[in-house]
Amino acid sequence: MSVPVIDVRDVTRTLSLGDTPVPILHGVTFSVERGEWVAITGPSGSGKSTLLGIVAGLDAPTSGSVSLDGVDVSARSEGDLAKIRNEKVGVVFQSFNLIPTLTAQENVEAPLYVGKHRREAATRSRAMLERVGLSDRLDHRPHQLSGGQQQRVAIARALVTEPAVVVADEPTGNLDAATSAAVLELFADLRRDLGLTLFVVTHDPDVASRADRVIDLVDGRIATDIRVAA
Amino acid sequence: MSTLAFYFRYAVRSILRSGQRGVLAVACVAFGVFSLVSLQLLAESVERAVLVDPVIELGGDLRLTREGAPLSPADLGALADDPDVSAMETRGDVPARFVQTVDDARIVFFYRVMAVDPGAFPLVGEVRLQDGALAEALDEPGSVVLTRDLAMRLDVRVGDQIRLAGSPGATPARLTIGGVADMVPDAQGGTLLISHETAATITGEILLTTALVRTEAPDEVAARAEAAGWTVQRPETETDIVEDLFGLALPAAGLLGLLIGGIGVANTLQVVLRRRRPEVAVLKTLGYRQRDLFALFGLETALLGLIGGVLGVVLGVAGAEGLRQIMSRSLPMLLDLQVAPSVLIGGLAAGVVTAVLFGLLAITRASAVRPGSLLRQTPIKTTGRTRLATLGLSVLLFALFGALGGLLIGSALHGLAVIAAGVAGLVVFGAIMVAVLLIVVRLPTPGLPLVGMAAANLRRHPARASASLVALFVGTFAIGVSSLIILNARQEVVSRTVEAGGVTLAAYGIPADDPEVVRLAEGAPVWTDRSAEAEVLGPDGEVLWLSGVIGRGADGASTVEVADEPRGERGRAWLSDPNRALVPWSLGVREERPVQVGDSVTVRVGETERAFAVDGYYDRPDGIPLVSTMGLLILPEAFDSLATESGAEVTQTVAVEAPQERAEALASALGEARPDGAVVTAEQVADMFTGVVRSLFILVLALTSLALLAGTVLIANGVGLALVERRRELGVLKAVGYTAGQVLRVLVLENALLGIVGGGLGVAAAVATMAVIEITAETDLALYPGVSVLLVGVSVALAAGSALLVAARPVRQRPLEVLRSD
Repeated sequence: MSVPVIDVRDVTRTLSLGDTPVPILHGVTFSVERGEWVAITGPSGSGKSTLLGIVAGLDAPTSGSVSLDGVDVSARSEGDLAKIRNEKVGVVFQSFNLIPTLTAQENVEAPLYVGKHRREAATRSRAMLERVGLSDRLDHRPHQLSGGQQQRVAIARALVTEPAVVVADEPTGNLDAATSAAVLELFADLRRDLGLTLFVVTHDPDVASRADRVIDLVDGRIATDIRVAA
Repeated sequence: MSTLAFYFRYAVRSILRSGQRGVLAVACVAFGVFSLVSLQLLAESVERAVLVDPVIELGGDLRLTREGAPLSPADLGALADDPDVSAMETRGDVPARFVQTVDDARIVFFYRVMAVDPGAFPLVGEVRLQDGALAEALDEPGSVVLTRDLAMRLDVRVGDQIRLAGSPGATPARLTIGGVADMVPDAQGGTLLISHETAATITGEILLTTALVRTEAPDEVAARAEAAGWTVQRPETETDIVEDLFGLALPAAGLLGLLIGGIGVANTLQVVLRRRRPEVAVLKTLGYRQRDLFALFGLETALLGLIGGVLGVVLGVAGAEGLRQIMSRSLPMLLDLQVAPSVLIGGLAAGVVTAVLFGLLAITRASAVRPGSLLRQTPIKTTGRTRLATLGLSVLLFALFGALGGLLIGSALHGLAVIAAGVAGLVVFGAIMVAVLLIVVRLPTPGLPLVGMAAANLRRHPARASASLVALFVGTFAIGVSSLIILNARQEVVSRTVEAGGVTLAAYGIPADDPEVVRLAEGAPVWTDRSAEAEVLGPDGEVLWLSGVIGRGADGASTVEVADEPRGERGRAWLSDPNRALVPWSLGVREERPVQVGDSVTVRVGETERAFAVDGYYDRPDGIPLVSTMGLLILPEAFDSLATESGAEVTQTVAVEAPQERAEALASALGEARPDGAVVTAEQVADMFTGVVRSLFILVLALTSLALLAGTVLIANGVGLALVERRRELGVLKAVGYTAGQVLRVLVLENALLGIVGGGLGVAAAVATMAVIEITAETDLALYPGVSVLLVGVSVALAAGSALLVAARPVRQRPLEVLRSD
């Protein structure tokens, strides 16, 4: 049996609201296989984004363990986590989070300069932007791009380091319906061509419907974990 | 593209996009480097002027004189025959009182004339003319070379004519300016150089009293000269006091400016990086580690430092030149600004290092942002450990900055001491300011809801305002004290002019009985004052401090106030007995053997001695003294008899007691009627003094205003930070119905309160300082309430104005935009 690319075991997360501890996740357990597309759904405040942050190595669980591509990420130093984020995870945000001073190509190159592919940064980033259909927008700044184009750049940036998993937080949340559909199509193509593992948090049923599996969170617990029929 | 190239491009783009904040950060560095470079350059030029090489100061390797006698041809011949003497020059005293322009009667007192012979004896030390060589400039008889500062004060140039009132009682000499010197050997701004030939025409004959000698064997020449009866003077090394004062104090002030600039950089970068926290979080999400962020933002900060450094160096050189010009108008030194590359490179390096050092504080804080903040608003947690780490880093940074300071001013201990004192001052004063602020913002504000809101906002983070408060305090305090002192000094000069009453015009080189003077005076009293240098001995044979003897009749009685007792009622009748004299009242109250009425005082001129009985005491009234005032006063007939017998050189001044408003017209008419004479009015002299006082005021104002400027930058940053941190809160206020104007008013009011507290305390401290000076110096000083109000007003206007400038646009953002973007 293959090692799951994401393995979450009994994860809890408690935040502080002033002096009051507020539990967000209550012992969440699941695993994701390589090449799987998993959608996390649930109402506001159910803990989706918190779970995504922990899976992406952006946040640490209060208790429990998380392993990413076979590496335990739950109790790592900030330096180790940075290396893991650079090499094993690509993150796509709802609000794109491109660096406004850099061009599309430079945004995609940015993670390569602190990783192991720094010598091929330009070649790789250009190839990835071509892959997402933006070869004619290499020197454009984020403000010169449409929302859909910005999200494509963000996707290219997430993929350029060849991560084990791509996590996306509401990737179509800031896009209109047509652009959303195009972005989802791109995810599907990339998954097919590159064998991506996708871990997507969403409110949008359309997004969820594209996934192989939908995990529904309610009040910090997994309410349902349904494999969608092909 | 390499990682470094990527970082470089990233940094440049970020700087270009940083807008107002980037400009502020550059301005802070530029401010610091400007202070350092300008004051360092100025210190070096002051040092050069004050610490003249002892050999230059002396004028040669040895200075030889004959005790109480002029040099004879035999003396000089023997000296010239000495095989070790490589060059020799004789010098005589050329008396000097003032120089005056021929065209508009501008006047400068207190100067020194050097009669030189550059062809035979090249001057020791530097003479640098703006155009041509000294020998050529003095070639024509009647030529003079004057310093750049003197030419500036008189507003004359090469080819113009000036009057030189030198020999007592003689007609002032008319000289043609043959050259203007940027540097003269004694580095004094009031020096004139003339040839021996010209000097002889001015004085009649030069009485040679000194021989200057250049030699490779000073000890041997000195021994032989001493054996031949010469008094030998050798170059003496100056004490270190002056070096300490100028060589260290000015650069130390510059270093403090750099410290303020550094704090401004830390403050500005805190705002810049606070705004860029999402960007930092993105970079961390992409795998950037702490060290990558330090490299990236460190490079950006270094570039900001480099830009600010270049700007600061350019401004520093210009500022040093500006300060030099102001100082040239008010101080006697001939400052020669030499822009040393080491100072420029040092300034540039200081800008970069300061920016990086102080930027580290902000970078450390910004890099603590968690990447998860992109998913959820999470504050940066400040634990005891992080506070301790920040404190440790701050101490380390200040220590490093102190070491940098030590490097810059050439003394590690001094650099550290200056920085430690600066930081300690900031902490202590900051704590006091914040304590007062907390009291002020707790005062009730009934019926003023926006003021109440502003006060409540200040209560949240009062410590953040400490640096701005200290800067406003220091600025208003320094300007307050200097303004009050200078206004009092100016008032003193003005009151002396106004109250002078008596003599309003003095003429030199005009015969005492010139009918033209009497005619032009139109009935105003005209009389002649005579004085001579003499030794005045007290009742016990001790030498009194008086400059000489003055012959003055009852017609000159208005120049002094006479009394029978030292502190008695003034207004007594003038002298009537030629064997009696008046002494200054202070001699009647001195601790050792006060001079009493009836005591005998002796005047000694050369071999002649004459005794006078003390008849009473005089006091000099307020006013510009155009005639001698510090001598033994005797009647004119007694003076004439003494002068004739002793052969004393007599200074003769025609004094006119014209009304103040007529003095100028009279001076002009007299100048035209008697062009060979020199005419001076009390107003001209007062103008010269007030001009000096004004220049000093501008100098002090220029230096102290820098503190206010720093305060303004810090406040602008404070407002910028508030706008970032309280963005959501301001959005909510607008969402519940506040207008942009009301939100802006709250922000402006917060900073106006800082202006009131910082400025108010600064002014209060200035007034208290003046009170202390008044008590300790036992003098009456005016406190000028208008100045205090104005200064607090300036402080409030700067604080509120910078807030208005920074916040005016951001508060107009729609509430939905603000709330949605969060």
